[in-house]
Amino acid sequence: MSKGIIRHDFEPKIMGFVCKWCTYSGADLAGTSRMDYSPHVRMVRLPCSGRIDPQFVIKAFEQGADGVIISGCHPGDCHYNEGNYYARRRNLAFRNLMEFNGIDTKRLEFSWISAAEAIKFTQIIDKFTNQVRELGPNEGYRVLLDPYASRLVKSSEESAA
Amino acid sequence: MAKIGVFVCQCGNNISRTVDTADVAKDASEQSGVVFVEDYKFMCSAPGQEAFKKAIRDHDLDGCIVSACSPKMHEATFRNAAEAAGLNPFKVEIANIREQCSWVHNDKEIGTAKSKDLTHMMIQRVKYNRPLERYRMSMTKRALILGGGIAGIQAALDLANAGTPVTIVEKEPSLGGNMARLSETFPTLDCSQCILTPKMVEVQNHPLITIRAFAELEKLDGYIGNFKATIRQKAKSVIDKDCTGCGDCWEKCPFTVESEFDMNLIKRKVIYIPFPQAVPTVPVIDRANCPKFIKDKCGICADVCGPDCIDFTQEDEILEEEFGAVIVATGFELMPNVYKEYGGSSMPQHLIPKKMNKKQRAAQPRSTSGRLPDVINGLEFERLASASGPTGGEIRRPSDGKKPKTVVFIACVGSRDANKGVEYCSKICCMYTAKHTMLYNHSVHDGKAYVFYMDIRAGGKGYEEFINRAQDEGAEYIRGRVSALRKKGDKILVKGADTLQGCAVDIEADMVVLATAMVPQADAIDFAKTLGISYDKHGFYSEQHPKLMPVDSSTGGIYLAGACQGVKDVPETVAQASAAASKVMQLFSKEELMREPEVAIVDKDHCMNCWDCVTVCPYLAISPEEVKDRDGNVVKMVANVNPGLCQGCGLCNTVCRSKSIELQGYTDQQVYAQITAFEGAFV
Amino acid sequence: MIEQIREKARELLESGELDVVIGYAEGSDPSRTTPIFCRKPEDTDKLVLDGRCVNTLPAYLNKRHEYPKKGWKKTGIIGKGCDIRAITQLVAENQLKRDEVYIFGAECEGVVAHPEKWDGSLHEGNCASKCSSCDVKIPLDTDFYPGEKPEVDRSGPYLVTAPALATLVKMDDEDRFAFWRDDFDRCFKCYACREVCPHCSCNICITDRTMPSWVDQAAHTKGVFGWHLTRAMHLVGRCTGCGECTRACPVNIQVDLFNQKMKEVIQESFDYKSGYSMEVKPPLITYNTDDTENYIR
Repeated sequence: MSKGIIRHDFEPKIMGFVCKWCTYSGADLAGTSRMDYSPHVRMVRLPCSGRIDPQFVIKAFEQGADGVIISGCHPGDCHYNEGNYYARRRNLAFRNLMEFNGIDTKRLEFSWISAAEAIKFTQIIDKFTNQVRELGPNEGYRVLLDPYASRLVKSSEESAA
Repeated sequence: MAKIGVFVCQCGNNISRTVDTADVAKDASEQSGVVFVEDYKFMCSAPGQEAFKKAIRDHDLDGCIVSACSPKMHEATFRNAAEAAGLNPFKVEIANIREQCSWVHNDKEIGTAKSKDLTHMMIQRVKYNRPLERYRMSMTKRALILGGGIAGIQAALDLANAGTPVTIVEKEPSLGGNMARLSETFPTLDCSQCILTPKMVEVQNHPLITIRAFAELEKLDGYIGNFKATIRQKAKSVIDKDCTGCGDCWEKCPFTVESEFDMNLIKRKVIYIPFPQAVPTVPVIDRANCPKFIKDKCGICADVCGPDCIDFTQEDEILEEEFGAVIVATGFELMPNVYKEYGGSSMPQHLIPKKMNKKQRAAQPRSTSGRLPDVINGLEFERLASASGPTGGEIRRPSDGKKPKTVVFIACVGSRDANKGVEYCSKICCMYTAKHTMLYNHSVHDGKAYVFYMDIRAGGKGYEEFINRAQDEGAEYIRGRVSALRKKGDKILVKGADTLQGCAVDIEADMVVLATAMVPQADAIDFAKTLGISYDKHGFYSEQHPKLMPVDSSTGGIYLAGACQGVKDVPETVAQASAAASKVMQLFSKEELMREPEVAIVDKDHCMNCWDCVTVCPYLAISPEEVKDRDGNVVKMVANVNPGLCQGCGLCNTVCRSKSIELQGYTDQQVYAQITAFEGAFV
Repeated sequence: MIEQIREKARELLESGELDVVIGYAEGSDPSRTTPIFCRKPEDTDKLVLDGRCVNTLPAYLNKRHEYPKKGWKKTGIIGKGCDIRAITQLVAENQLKRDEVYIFGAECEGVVAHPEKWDGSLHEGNCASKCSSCDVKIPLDTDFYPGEKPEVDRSGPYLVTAPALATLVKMDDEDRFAFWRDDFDRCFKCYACREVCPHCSCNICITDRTMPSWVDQAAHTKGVFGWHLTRAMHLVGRCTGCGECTRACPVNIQVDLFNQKMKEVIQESFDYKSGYSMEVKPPLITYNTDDTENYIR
């Protein structure tokens, strides 16, 4: 049953923003079904995927997240009828923006997970965790975390050149 | 400085098996603002809750974290306990360390680290939880029912019998709706009017039910519990309260026009009741066709009226009434314009008024050109088969009144084909077509009924048996579509295909009956906008949740019943009407309306009135509001949230660029605190 | 062309129909023009209109500024095609009422990328890149147009990618990140990009909010990343592409590349161009049930 714990050199930090009606309930179902999945994700429970502001994601990356998961109800299932449709548009734009900024969009996961899809939930978490682990730390942003480090990196690059 | 208590639950060994709860508690105690921690076996047990309350009182806590199971399990439990101990319930948060931690991770080190992190996030969050008060609102315990068909009638009776005053608004002069048109109903073949009219009379005699026939809803303001309806009572030209329904006026009236109730198959008087059993039995004058109104001639009805209740000067009346809940039961119509495909309009040629000029012809609801007179739709057949219909229940074809010896029924006309109508299955057509074949066979013993069908869908109690019975009684079912109808002498040549035999079929029919798709009323979408409820692309009103809230509309306090929400037969309509009525009773069973405080609020100083929030709000809960200075001049416009309508989705908060509107309970500051507390402290 | 506008502006100011006309006048040196608020009819003689008129004047019409509060009932404004797009967008966002402005429009040949590059005439070498893909050289919505306004076909895609954008898109993520990191390293958060923008209309900018401070106030690179991402996100589907943010930047960060990129995305995904209609809702506050979701698992 247990997948066993394998320690890796790098363990990613992943932030999740999820809708409380579908994905959060799906995660609860994974719990009641005693499914085993990667422990890297910290989820913030929100009323709707439409409540997920791109600011949250930017802040999560600034805070040192290596990946961010956004998840909500399937189209047509939104508790508020249309919140996830807005989320879908907003995140399409935001994803392109992040990509243009040079942030690998593989670090940004968007999925529809219903309250019944505990298996899908665990699969997405596992798959995404592995994906981010392979990408390694979000180096670019990590350097930015320390304002002085970025200057050091730059000067070292210059001296190397 | 915050005074926060953290309560870590072991949940027997459900949590403590993979999480070192003592360590989590110790770690939490080191967080700033935390003044009390507890590690307990079962927090949700009675002694656990007592300890929780005691800690709140003893340490004067202003925020609590319960690190335990999912908030879905016990958030309410602990919030109620906090309230009992004098702490605002919205200052309590749950860190989900069971479903999302201890049950899914097997390593104690990992489980403990994740639990600590989840608890930290909640500690930071709860610092910014504002004490919130539930909104208490009074409500008007009266229900408005829109539509007086079987759905409206059923809902009205259920509510009134439970003691709720009800007003039914019906746009036609009588209650009854489409069901009053039906001859007999499947699968029992009992007479529709025989089961409907007693209910209509019951409605009329019920002291708690007010009938507003020949009236329409103009406007609906307000929100759940407190709606304000503007109803237009169209001028009947007859004084309701004096009319005895004796019938002298419509018997003596010398002018006739086509009867809408009888699908234009027969004529009615200009002052009329739609059908003999009409409720209320008060006639109305069809002003568009009455010579008194066109050229001020006639006036016989006023002369013969005993109680002297004809009033030609009567005007439309605008009524404003208050209601607490609304049931929408506006029903359906049959898809118009299918005759183009099958040859023409609904109006039989011989009934088209001779004097009609070109303009009037064009103004007819359906084009009359090139129509085959003996191609009729299901409701027209119902009238032909009805004992109270134009032929007295004998099935005679509209063109020449002959008994049709061969009748072809075509199923799925306009339905199940997005290219030729709508893609959905109209659901009731299989059943009523089977019924029609039986009614036909019972009326014309030597007749032959053919049915062209795509599939037979008979999934109801006794429905499949009913189809079998129709086939046993002589209806011949041909699986295939009809490609064309052509006039051949006084017959109609039906060119079809039999896909089971793999051959073309030509049938010379005396009459063709089309099982036309049920569609929403033509003005359904405009009406939905009046009500502020959502609708699908066909114009059927959307339910709040397709499985779990099938009678709630998207707007609180507005419920749906019958075919306005989707295609339904009579039993389903009645069931939904009763369900809607019970929802209203549930709403009215409380003294006051309690609304969760997790709604949006506006920072009126900084709102820059771009109205993005107004646009995205799925509940029309946000509206522009004027801000005035001391002299009453409008300084600026800002958004205003109606807490009665807001459901707390937070879309407005996300689209607001200046963050001048925020969702209480999920404010930006709370989420920010959670994000910044995120450490990912995984070893 | 400018003579006709001067004449009309003078006429309307004299008659009192307009309280003010916002336009361009000769600047402090011959390569520059400066915005001018003509209150008196004789002021209109100072109006000029040529390739040096870079400023996006509708920014003054934005409610955020004090000008609309001066009690002027009707404001005249001289607009290039792209400026008029900005006005349209302001009206669509309820920041302006169409009947409060009187738009003088004129055919525009393009403007110089930066006044420093002005050498007396406009040519390929100094023309702003936004002008190469302009479809509103004959402006859309005008109250006054000198002469007959020709009909223009604007149905084309007009997705001419700026050269800088094209090179940037071709880079891989790491290089692009490094590019922006180096650029943003120079940013000291003067917020000139915000101040010149006709669409930054909040009375309080999200970056000035402290509870919570979504955007770090400090001008270190992390805070700058947050600011520019936020700014670009807030302008998605709203930016009308005047490019003033880049021109105003004192440290030459090409901030409008973000806007250009998002403009492409929005046009490809949602078939929306901002500034062309006062009625169509911007793409992020509306939706289609069959929007693309190829990025969603």
